[in-house]
This record gives sequence, structure tokens and C-alpha cells, in this order.
Amino acid sequence: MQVVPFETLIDESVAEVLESMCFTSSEPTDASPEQEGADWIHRRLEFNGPEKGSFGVRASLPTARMIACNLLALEPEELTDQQAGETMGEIANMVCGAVLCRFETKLAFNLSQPKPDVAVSSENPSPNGRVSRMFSLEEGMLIAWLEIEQGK
Amino acid sequence: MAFNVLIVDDSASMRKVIRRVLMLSGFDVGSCLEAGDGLEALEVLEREWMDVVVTDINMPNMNGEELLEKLSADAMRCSIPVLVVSTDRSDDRLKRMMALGARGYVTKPFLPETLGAAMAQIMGEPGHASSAF
Repeated sequence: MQVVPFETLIDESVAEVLESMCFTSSEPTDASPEQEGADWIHRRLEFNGPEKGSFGVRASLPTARMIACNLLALEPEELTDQQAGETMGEIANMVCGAVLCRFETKLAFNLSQPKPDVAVSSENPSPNGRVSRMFSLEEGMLIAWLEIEQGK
Repeated sequence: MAFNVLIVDDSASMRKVIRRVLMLSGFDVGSCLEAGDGLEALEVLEREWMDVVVTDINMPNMNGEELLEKLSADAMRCSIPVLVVSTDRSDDRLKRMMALGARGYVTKPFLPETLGAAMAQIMGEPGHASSAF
């Protein structure tokens, strides 16, 4: 039985992960994100268990680098773009786990390895049924989304 | 007494975070080695004596659950304490990992002091928890 909306679960989970691991606060926002370009980092993973679906995060490269620097305690000049990408994968993994455990506390989910996702564009719009949330961070925006497969 | 720690996680970033948190927590870390999955962890344990293993669950090739099963069945290494650090906080998973022999379970995301305290608890070092935070 779903009581709390998925939007709230995502908001709470993003805040928990960014505050405890990256010492960064996040505010849900309705503002339009800056233009998504080729330098945006997208990570997604699939989950299986009491429900089946997928989860993802995306952010501009500068935002992803800021998150990674905070998580890894590195100076910007020490951080590689590969580490920024890996960190976004780990953020996706932790936020997804936090969302799912708020949704279902007893039964376990299996999560796939985070991997790069295709960019959302006018040619490739977000699928129907995706719950997407935007967050304003100290530097830029983070977008987190969740899809639950219907009829599983 | 310094403890040799093996960190097992497929995310290099998370291994780095765990290593840094352990160093900062006041927990007395001797040698700190890393492995990207359960198979790599077993290879490390074949050649090095580690005092404690910190492992993720969800990993390619050999996951944390399979690693625990292997260690439990190994007469030489079944006494090595294992701390699980995972995004999975379901009752099912926690019970299964503890039944397989895990000594502790910390969920990601974690506060630095939580990980330090869990390590201190399973290693019987109560005075070492998290004074640096």
C-alpha cells in the first residue's frame, strides 16, 4: 500500500544522501534546469524485488564534480571526470536504496550496477510514468527520477 | 593495536570514502587493502592476513552474500569479522547477512561516526569511536 507519494520519498532520500555523505544541502525546485548539454552526467540502474523498475540521476559536469569533491574530500584540481561519473553512479545507488527502503521496509530489492544513461532530449523524451524531481544545490541542479513497471 | 582492513566494494569512490572515514574515526588502521568484488577479496585473503573485512553486498562477479558464505565455510578465515556496508536496509537482507556470519551492518548513506562506531564495536575497541568528527 502506497501512502507517501514517490515525490516525497525521492526528496527525503536525496536530502539524506547529500547531507550525510556530501555535506551538501538540496532544495526541491520547480525552476527549469539550465540547458542540458553533452557535458551532463547521467547514471541509471534497474531494481528488482517487490517492485521492478529503474532509477536515475543526472547533473551538469560542474555540479557532479562539486558533489564528487565533497564526497571524496578532494580539491577540484585533484578530481578526474571519471571520478565524477563514478560518484554520480554511487549517488544513484544510495538514493535508490534509500527510496526503496522507505517504500518497502521488509523485503529486499536487487539493484543493478549504475551505468551511463542516454540523455533526455526532444527526440528522446522522458517516458510516461516517470516521477522526476529537480533539486537546487549550492552549485547547479540535480535531477532524480524513478520509474516503476506497472503490472509486475 | 592496529588492525588490517580489507574494503570490498565495486565503487572505487566508495572504497575511498570508507578508507578516509576509518582513518578519521580514530579507529587504529594498519594495512588497508581494497578489492572490487568478492572474488578479488578472496584473492587478497589468500595472500594477506586481514583482521576485518568491510564489504558491500551488490557487486559483480561475486557479491557480498557469496563472499560471506565462502568465508564462513573456510576454516582458516571464518573467524575474520565482517562488517557489511550496503544501501539495502530491508529486514530480509539484514537477517540473511547476519545469519551468514556478518558481525555488523551499516547502511549507506552513513554518518562517518556511525561507521567508526560499528568498526570499534565489532573489533572490541569501544574507546575509538569517532572522536575526530
